[in-house]
Amino acid sequence: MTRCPTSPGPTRSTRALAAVLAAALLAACSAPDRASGGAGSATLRIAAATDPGETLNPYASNQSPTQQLRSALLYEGLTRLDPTGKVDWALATDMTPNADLTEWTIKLRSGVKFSDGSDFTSADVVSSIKYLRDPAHAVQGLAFIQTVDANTVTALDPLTVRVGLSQPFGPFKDIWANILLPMTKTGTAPAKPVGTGPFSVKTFTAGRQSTLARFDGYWGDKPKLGAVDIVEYESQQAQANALLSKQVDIASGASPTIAKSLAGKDGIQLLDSKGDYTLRIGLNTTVAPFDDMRVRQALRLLIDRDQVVSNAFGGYARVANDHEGGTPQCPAPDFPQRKQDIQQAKKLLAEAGQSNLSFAITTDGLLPGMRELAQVFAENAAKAGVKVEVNVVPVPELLSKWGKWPAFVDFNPIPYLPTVIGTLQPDQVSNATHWDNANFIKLSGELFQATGDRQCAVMNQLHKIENEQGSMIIPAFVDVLMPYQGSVQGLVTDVNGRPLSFLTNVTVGS
Amino acid sequence: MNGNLSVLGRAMRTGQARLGLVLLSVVGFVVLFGHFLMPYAPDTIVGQPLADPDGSFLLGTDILGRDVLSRLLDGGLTLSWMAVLAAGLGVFLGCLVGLTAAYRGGAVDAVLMRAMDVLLSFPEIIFVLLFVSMLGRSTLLTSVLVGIAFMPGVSRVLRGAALPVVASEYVLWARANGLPPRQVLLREVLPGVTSPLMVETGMRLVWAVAAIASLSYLGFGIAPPAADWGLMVGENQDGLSVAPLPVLAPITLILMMALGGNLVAESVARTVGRTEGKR
Repeated sequence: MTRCPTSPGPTRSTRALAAVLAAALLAACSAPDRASGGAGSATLRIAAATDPGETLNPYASNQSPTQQLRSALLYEGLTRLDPTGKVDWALATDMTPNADLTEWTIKLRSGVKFSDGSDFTSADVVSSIKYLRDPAHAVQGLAFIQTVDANTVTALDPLTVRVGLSQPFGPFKDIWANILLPMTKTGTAPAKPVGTGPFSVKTFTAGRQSTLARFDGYWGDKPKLGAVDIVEYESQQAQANALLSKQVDIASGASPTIAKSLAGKDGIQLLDSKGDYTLRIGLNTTVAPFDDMRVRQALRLLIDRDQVVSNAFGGYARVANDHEGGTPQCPAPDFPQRKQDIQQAKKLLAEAGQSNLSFAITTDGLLPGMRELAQVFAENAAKAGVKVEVNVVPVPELLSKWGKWPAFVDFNPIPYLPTVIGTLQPDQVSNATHWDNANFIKLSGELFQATGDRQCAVMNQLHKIENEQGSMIIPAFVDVLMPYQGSVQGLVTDVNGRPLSFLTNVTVGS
Repeated sequence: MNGNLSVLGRAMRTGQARLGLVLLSVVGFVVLFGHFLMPYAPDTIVGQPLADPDGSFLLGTDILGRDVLSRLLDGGLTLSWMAVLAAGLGVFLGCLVGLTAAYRGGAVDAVLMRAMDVLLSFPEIIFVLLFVSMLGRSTLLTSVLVGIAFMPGVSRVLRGAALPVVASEYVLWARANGLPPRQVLLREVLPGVTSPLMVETGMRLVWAVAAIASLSYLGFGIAPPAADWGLMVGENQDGLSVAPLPVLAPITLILMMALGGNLVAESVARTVGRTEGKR
């Protein structure tokens, strides 16, 4: 181990040299601390975006990616998504509906303990669901469980819960895999929530840093890591610099450019999660001229999807077809891929009387590629004489006028089923384009009652409606990029873009 | 007026001023004629992002795959007119407040200068950001706000320079003869403060370039996809380690503009200082 000097003792003439040496020694001093961990006790240091308003409450109404990253390690739902997007059992082991899908009986896993050592029982599930369902708490996941009738949620025995619904709902198991619907110990949320996850909170300072320690009483496969440090940084460039100077082991956010600039430097590798994560341009259907479907279709014909993939996302994306991602287990829809067609776009715009269309796309540039997507679109649109300005606003401003922007850049990280419920139905907060399509609503009703192959078939019909009549320009499915030190082993990619939820086999150091 | 021109002429004979003029001329050439020399349209995507310089792209491509040289040649015009407008407005308003305060004295002086002190307590960039966040972004608004932010500094300098002039005999004579205050200020006082006014204009121009480029870098100045030097630095900073030219090229031009203006203004200030305003 390198010794750390207590006093560099610089003279006037050697001050500059001493400063450089001191910096080098400090860097050298931090590295061996990492290696001292060894198997089973090492700490994984994750760089994340700073969020001064964050809390430990997994039911908070407006959670940042950093808070969700932490929640995924502390709390669990009744079911969960595996890295391939398949729904697995978590705290539940079975869910059985009645004949008309309006009442579900949930069997809970036995032997599960909360991180404070107490037993997890049906009473905790009842209190968690009632808390989630209470509109007064304004939880972010409320939209997904609006059919749950809170008054009917009852514990039948310590490991069985019955849930009544106001409407028939088939994909009940899928919904509970949402990260926003975890189970916590009765009476602990929102102030000091206790979960059943593989880690528990050791220290927490909002907007700066938190340390999570392995919970040895965890029911499932125990992580090999002893602890996880989540260190928050102002920008992705700062995360990259922290990675380069070995202050962290993995950067949870990196633009394609940053990922490319880090690749291969000092053994840094790239965790490239390919999935159905979409960045999209929303067109407000209550604002002229976007209320005219011909205009929306014309704008979708203007975008050069291949250029979006190569130039806005540096190749870390794949072409999309103006509909959200499906379920990895379902075959892709078989309708043709939309391509750039300037002449057809001009024709549609002329028919709509919008040949000299000019508008602004608003973005907060929160995620890598958002601003670039808008700029590539602006360049593409200019070819048809459509003038597009890119309006970059601060995050609070974007959110304060949410639902009022005529055109905006948005993102969707969640699987298709909750997307249909939360984003594509009218009167949902996430539906900022106010898209209200009768056919889609009718068919999504069928989706909520379908299972297996029928579910896939309905999803593909829904995709077709999105493609033909939707309110979003969805040019690409974007990869989630996380550069990491070569000393980190066992990371897995995740189709839902949350690879840091799967740390079971991760180790740090040689 | 001739005396002031001779001060300017003497200042221009110094090596420092000549270097400044050369730098300004190069930047001026790029700003005025660059648009006609662009190999590609500045907003068009012509290649892969952050491509290295080659025969097709002499300075490589930027983060979106646009030609850096074309954007560089096109990107100075907006910044320049915004800087000229901001500096002009700042000097005009500062002059108005400073000369009025010096001429009227007493309560008017006290009120005006304390008001300027309040404005001065806001850092320029914060002052502009405050209003841009409230009112939305526009190039004209940004220029006007930078100009207003410069007003207190200019007014303090001009008031200081005008006080001895206001007390001089020819001004007292003009006042005694009943000349209206506007004419006294314009005909008698203003010519007496032309030298500091020139220095102040030059310095404010440099600061306006720096302030507006900084605002564009922060995303509050010129809106993308426009080509602008400050914006180019902000847009391409993520790729600095793989492709430094899209960041370094606009920084070099901003630096040349600011340094050139600074050297000229400094030379004039020194010449004025050496001759103590004597003609």
